[in-house]
Amino acid sequence: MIRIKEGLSKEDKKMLNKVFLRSFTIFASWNQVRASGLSFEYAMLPVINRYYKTKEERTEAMKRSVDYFNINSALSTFLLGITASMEKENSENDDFDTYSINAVKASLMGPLSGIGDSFFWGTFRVIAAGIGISLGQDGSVLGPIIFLLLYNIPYILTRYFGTYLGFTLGSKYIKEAYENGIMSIITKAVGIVGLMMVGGMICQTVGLTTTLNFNLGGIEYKLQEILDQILKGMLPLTATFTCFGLIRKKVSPNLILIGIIVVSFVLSLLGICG
Amino acid sequence: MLVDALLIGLLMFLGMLTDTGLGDPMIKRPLVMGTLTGLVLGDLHSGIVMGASLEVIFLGITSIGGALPSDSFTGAIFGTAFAIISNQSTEAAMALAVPISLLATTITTVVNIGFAAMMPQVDKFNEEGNQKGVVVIQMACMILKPLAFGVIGFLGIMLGSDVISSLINSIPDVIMNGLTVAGQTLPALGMAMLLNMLWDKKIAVFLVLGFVLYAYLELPLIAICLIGVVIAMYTSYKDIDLNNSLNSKRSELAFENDNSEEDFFND
Repeated sequence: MIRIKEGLSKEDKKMLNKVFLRSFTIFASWNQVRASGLSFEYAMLPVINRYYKTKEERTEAMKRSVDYFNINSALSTFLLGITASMEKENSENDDFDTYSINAVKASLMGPLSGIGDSFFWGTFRVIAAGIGISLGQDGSVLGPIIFLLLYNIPYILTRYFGTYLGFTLGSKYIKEAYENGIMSIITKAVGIVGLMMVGGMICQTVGLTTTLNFNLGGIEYKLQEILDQILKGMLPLTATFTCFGLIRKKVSPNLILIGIIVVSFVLSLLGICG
Repeated sequence: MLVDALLIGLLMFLGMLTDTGLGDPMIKRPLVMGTLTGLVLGDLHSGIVMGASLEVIFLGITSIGGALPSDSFTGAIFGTAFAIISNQSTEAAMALAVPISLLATTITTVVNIGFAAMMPQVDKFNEEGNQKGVVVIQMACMILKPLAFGVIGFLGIMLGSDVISSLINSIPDVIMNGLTVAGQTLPALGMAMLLNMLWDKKIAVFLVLGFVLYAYLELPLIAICLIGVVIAMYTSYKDIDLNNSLNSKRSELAFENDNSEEDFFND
């Protein structure tokens, strides 16, 4: 952790800390046209002012950095660091192709977001919320507190060290990490934890049960008990995989949401559930 | 009522400010916002319980890449607030939060379109090299969005409380029952969205492991998480070893190929 700051001058650190702090406004001006483009430019201003001295150069760099930018916020600083290192190279090297700055930015946005989403949205947040919810449902104020701590400690550390890591490693390293397969190993490892959590949480969160009873030869049967004997959590699993199948078929989540509400009303009216 | 409305307005302003100014550290999630709504309305316990139940519904239904399926923030605050103000149960909070969250996506969409309309001005500032202008717009956006939510929070409680209270009290049991079932089923969509994000055929079987550990062995989630970490680390180290040996073999092969070519030319 200390080594990533090696070889950085005092001004470098000052600049990167500014980028890190400014990156907290990454969602401030989010819009459908540029996504976080303006926020990216805002965070890059300390870099632009440090490496470019003439107004023309600064204007060019500003115009470059406001382009469409959309990324998982946890890894936004990493890409800011990488871009900062490329702007530095551009300012020192006359042959540097400025086109490559936005090309690298655009090409890393998607894959980095994928990793960030499965780490932070799919795994850290799910773990934190799972624990927070079980405490909160008992009415304990520790629920929300532990939820925030469990999520934010890795989140803020990643954001902070990501800024430095991106700057010192530059775009070359991340390309290598993709090519030699390290990235897919990390993605797979996170996916394993995430999937196990989701597996557990399907049972924890989806409370769907049936209240249907029927009478066979004078003996009262409860359908839910029979279902539990076949497979516990059968209804939550069925509901989840039905939704999953629909999402895979590109049905809009809003439509599924409304569908669930309608189906729930029908099931409740028929006396099958609730 | 005025005090409640002001407090909720302030809460919504500050809550959204953590999103625009602090990079969304999950403070605006239902679990936290429900708790804080309970706190400012003087019923912390209900706030926590309602927040936790709403978090269950909205857990997986998240905004990824800017697409917003539902506004859990506004839904959770209004749902909890109206339920507490009219002395209703957690079910009422859920029944209110879901439709409100669907309607409230409009607020974000409108605000974002407003920001999009500012982009030509940003381009103009960039053309002129006017950094101050860029900073002003960024800061204005950071404040304006929370402000919009704050005003809606204030107006919603001020104008809506009486209407919503009488509305909840007049909802027949049949509908309440249907909404309860919907509340139990909706997390399935969230789980499906998480699953979609994490899905990879080669590791999908771990879903079954997590499920069995929870449903049959009744382990708490933290234990399942740790078991997952153990498996993930073990397989990662194996994968890295395998990867290294593969990579070194590949470079050896490349080296031999180079040599043979040279030999060929030397002959």
